[in-house]
Amino acid sequence: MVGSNRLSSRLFLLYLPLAFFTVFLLFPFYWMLIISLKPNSLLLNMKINPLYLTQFTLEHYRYLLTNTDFPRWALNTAVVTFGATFLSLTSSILMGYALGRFRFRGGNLAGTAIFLAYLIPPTLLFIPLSQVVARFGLYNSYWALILTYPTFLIPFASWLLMGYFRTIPRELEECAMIDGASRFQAMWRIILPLALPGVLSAGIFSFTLSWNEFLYALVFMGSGEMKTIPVGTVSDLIRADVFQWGPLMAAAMLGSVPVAIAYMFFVDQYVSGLTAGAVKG
Amino acid sequence: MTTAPAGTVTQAVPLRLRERVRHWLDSEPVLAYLFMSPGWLILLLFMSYPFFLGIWISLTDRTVGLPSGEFVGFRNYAELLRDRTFHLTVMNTFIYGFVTVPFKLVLGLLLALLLNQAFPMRNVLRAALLLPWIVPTALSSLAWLMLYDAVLSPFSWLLKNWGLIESNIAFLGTRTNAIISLCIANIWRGTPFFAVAILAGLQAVPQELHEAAAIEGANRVQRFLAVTLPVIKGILVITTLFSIIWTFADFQLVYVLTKGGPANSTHIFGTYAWQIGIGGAGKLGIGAAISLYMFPVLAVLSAILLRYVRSQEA
Amino acid sequence: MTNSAEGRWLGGKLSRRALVRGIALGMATPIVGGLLAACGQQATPTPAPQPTPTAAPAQQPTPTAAAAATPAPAATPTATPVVLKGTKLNILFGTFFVPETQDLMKQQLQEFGKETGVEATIDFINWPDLQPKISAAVQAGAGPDIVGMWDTWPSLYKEALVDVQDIVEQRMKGEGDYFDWVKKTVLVGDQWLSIPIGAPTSAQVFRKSALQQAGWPDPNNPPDTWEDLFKIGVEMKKNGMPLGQAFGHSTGDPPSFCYAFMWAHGAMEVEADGKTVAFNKPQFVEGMKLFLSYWKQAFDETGLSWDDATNNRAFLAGQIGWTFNGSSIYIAAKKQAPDIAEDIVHHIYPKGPAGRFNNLGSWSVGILKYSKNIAGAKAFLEWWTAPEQFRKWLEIQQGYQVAPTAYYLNDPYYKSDPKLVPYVEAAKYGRNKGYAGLGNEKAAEAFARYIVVDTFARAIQSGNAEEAIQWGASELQKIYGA
Repeated sequence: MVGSNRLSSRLFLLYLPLAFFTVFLLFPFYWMLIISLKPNSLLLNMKINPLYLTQFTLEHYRYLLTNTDFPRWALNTAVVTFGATFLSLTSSILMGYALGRFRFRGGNLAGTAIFLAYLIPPTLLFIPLSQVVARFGLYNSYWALILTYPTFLIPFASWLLMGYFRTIPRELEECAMIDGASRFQAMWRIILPLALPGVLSAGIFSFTLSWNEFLYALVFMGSGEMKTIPVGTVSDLIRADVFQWGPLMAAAMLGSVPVAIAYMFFVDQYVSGLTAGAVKG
Repeated sequence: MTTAPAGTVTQAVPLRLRERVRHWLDSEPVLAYLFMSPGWLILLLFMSYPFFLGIWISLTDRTVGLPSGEFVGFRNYAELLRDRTFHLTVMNTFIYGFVTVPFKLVLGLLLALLLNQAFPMRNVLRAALLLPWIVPTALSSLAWLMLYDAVLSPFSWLLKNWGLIESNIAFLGTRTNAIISLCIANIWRGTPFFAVAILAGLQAVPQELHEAAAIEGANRVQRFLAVTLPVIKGILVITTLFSIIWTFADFQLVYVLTKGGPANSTHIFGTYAWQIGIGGAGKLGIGAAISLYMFPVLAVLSAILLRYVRSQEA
Repeated sequence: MTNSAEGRWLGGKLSRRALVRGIALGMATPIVGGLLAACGQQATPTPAPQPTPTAAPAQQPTPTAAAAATPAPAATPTATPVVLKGTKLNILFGTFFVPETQDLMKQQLQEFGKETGVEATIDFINWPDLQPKISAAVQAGAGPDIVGMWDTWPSLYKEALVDVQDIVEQRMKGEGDYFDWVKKTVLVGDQWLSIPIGAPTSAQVFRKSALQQAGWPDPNNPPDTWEDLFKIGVEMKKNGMPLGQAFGHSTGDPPSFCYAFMWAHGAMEVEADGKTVAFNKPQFVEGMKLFLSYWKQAFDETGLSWDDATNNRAFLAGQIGWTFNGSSIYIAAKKQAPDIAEDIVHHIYPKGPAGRFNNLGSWSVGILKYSKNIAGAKAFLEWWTAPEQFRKWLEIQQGYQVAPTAYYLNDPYYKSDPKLVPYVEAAKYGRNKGYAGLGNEKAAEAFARYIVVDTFARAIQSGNAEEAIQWGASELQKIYGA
């Protein structure tokens, strides 16, 4: 009796909502998968149900990997993404820690000022920014993106981390410092590990946004081999008024699934690893 | 770029100086500014100049083919006030922002709460449900373009197959349809972002408090309100705030799906600024002014939310 | 492979940075920058701004304004190799529908490289991304040396383009005068700032079987007037093969219909003076009413959301029996669905009470002033637009691109497939955007704001022809009247 009650409550409160989310969030993704596997000859065949595959082909993947520079685009994207994420995350941890933990004059102002930077949309900013990029001689180099992406990553990552650092009780760090640890040691050994979920989610945030970015990648890099996955695929696979849907969707798959698998380990780490142990301590 | 230089310096010098440096470094304001410097350096170099230049451009008649322009004061702003398409753009942006953000917040919160529970295969699902946010928007927008396509849409196909409609639905063909379609695609893309930020916040919720509350007979909703919410409130507000900004400044999704059409009925700030400024008309000054009209709106909104965050902390 | 490319590229960057600094210091006008680059860009990270006597003979530290303005006469093929060897060029184009075109152009760059020692690279990007990329490059003063442009863009970027009068004159001497629609969309005032390369045209694309089914007497001779087209459309739609036309925000197909229909019904954006708006004409209002009366009965009503690509797939999916398009539907069908290709018949634009017209503007290639290798860029364009190279480029596109002068139009690739003949014939009826004025930046603005297209979209949405045309006229007034 109790057992079945519990089961039904889990069904309604957990599994059904999860099923809803799975369908809503993954349906478009399923569609991308289907299109990436569908032979061209069936794409416009409206007599058969477009939602399943009567035949499938890996041709689009083969095309993407051998007839385009996709591997090179993936490398570029990875270099830029790792660089920008590392830079943003390091600066944001420090910034977030300063804003969230220290009392100093101008603290609120500094927090607000960072925020201001966000209020100008990239669709406008890229024109003046392209002048800066050119002036520094970064045009068409990895640095063009590694240094400009943080402009939209640092504000949010800092704020997220600031919020996160504030949820950690001050006493923990003060205890450590009374025990003789320096500020740095207290931060490095006590606070940072406790803030790991926040750090990882800021990292995931930065990584994803860098991975996806299109406009800066198109304008500041985007020549020759220096294309990222989004820029390369869109430039190479849309020919005038004809979309090569199969390879485009194959690129969407190859450009996201590996990242999702990597996230699987991170998210799991911060969720299961910490709930039980660290925060309690 | 990191704290490393400070650390290495202290190790290399004799003890007394080291003590003094250490003492100095333990002073909060000094450390605070030191910690903020790498971030500020990047923002100042790559943000402040473009920021002010952007404002300057909005006060000139600069075009895309001309790296300078005459100062025209607030003419561009005044002109927009009389532009009916711009009025519609403002309205659309508000609809787009204020419809999608609450959905993203509520759905993201629910999703985070769900993903925070134990169930089989949960790590796989956690990663999989992030996918909408990971797929490059340039490509996922194309997938939505197909889903809403007048020819290829599987929705139309199914409804037709079930005999519910006669001809394909014009998902992007009327203002109402198009705005709903755009909102759904935006919610789809943004929900996982809320979920991941909130999920991180949930990790700071003390489990023992939850357990204690449960023993005292609090139900789920009460426990959520009394135990969970206070801890994650700051993160909720910050995430919402940033999401509002991004949604207001969105571009790519609308650009790929409608480019503001049909008949300018789905423009948001980003796409209209693009149409006037970059994509064709080339009037950078007006394009910049369109973008900057967002500034006061977002600034007021941010001020309210930020005040709230700070009042909670005090 | 990547490693060496990297190394080379880093070297290039350093010298470029130095050059940019030099220009920023006001040491050099763009022209000098170009000359400097022509000699100094060989991956040597020397800080270039200070002119040293050993650098190169081409270097002119004090060019007068006049020297900068007159086109460099040195750009003759015989003289170039000496100066150009080791210089670099980057070219930016929109993507080409026929994929082999892009391969051919890369090959041509290599050939040119062998002859002159210029290391040239080319990028092709998605059409909607081309303009932002050029705009950012112009604003930043760094980026591709040569850009491919759509019609009206030369006016938009006139301050940023190098005068190429000399090359154009040479072309006209060899291949004859350009078509009127070419001149009206490429010339900026009386200046040639880019070299015309023609444009893809469009025509009516019919399914013969659909015409036949609808009771059209001779499917090989499709309807020739707008009204006949609408009338047969009603019958076609009854058989599930409606007319398919895009009215969304897209730069290709929606304007094809809307501009052509407007002109055929006696309206224009503006009179020849370029100031008097001539849009709200009774004949046009009547025509619009006629169109609206057929919209529901003859057209696929999802058209309001279509973009340039939708009609291609609707046609190939067998959902529509007629559309306006470039030859891309037919060429794709030949590959993917030969039975549909067989069933296609093309026809030039329909006639209206005021005549038969279609929207046509020439693409062109231009050199950006900030380029550090203007001499090399000129040499390349002179070489590439010469018939030996240019003809290959036209040929590989199977007639998709109509040449800017009549010189090429008798070539076999325009005649070999009789089905494609209407695409060449379309050039005779071409009118530029902004007609009867010039295809200048005002026409570009009206076009970019989709005013003519949105007039139709509004009319369809509201069913009110007068109101929509009034709206269009007042919007055009804001642009042309100013």
